[in-house]
Amino acid sequence: MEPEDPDLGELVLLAQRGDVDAFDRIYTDVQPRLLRYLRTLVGDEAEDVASEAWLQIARDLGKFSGDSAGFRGWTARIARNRAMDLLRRKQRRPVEPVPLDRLVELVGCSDGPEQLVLDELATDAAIRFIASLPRDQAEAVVLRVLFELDSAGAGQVLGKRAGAVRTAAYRGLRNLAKKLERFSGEPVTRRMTAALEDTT
Amino acid sequence: MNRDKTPLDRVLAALTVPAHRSELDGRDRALAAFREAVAHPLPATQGNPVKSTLAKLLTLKVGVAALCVTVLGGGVALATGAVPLPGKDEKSVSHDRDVRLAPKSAPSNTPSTGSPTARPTPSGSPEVRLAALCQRILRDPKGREWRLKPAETRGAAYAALVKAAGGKDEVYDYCLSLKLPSAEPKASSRSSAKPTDKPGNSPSVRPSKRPTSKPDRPSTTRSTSTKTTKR
Repeated sequence: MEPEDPDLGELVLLAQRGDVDAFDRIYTDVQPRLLRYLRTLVGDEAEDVASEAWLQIARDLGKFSGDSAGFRGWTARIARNRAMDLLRRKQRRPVEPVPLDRLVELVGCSDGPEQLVLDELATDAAIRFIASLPRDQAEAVVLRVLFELDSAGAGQVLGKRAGAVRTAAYRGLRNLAKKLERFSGEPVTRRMTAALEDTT
Repeated sequence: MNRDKTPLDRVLAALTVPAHRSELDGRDRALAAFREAVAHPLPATQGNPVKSTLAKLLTLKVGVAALCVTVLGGGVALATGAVPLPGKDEKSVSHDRDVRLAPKSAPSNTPSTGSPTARPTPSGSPEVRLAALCQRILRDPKGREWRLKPAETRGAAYAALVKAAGGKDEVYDYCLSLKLPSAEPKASSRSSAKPTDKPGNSPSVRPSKRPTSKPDRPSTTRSTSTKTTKR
């Protein structure tokens, strides 16, 4: 998530020796992923759940060993477990309304990615839009696109087989594409396939 | 990521942009938690109290399950005959195997138990089997009359005893000469070095349908012996 994509495996090794700066860089890279993932699961309570997750991450960091993708998957699993605990207590997944006007603006504007970085509302609209998918599809899309996990890695987070994750991600992106076609009228099937290939 | 040309690409790009400032509001708390974890690392065994408790419960459950399996499995094994009982072992040896095939672990020859199921089984060397047969003969009130029947009708062990004694007429005296420790019913001193089978209890003899129970023997022993000889 940082512009230069840090080597999380190396940062974790430093943090395990007590390097606070390394942990800070880890946090900067992972926190937005966790928070956005949690937004698709528990909505407005994502920040509280993320805070709980970081307490556990900090405490159990010494037990982890692996590379960047492995670490992202590990943190995603911790955050998801916390979110599932909350959902079990609430017995329902919150549904946040998708800001359609902002979404139309997002997909219709010609701003480059530099402007998107500054556009927090665009990120919020994208998260809510993805959160409108069935949960299994939303999780598969987020883990593959946002956490940059392959199907097997995402499957480990979700407790599913890689094939099931691949299918859920495909269906999720297809559903998103179909909804977006209503706004733009542009066929997006080919683009959707490209998006999946990017995250393989 | 250059997904800025199509609607889906733009949505995914908006999803994956670097952190917005507001998303890092919890940084101080996370860093504080990290410093605390570094300063006071948890022992490995205290990783998660919930997990620890669950592990203890699981250990207990596994132990109980193992005990149940052992008990039930043992019961099934006993019921099916997979595990030899001392008393049953006598029967199996006497009925299912050649008399010369002794069980792998011969029951103790010490007579102190007195229990029918703990009764020693003559086994091992031919001398032991002969001695056991001699005991039967000497305990039998009609032991001297064994010679009246053809040796062939009394089984291979008796034939061997006849051969060892030098003739069927010499068998009784031969047995007396062995001075077996428990040969006489009233014998008080018994040696653990020699078999102490009571007469009629020798599965190695298989006296072919002749009643072998003796008046001085406990009823339980008689029933066991009867079963042994009838099968």
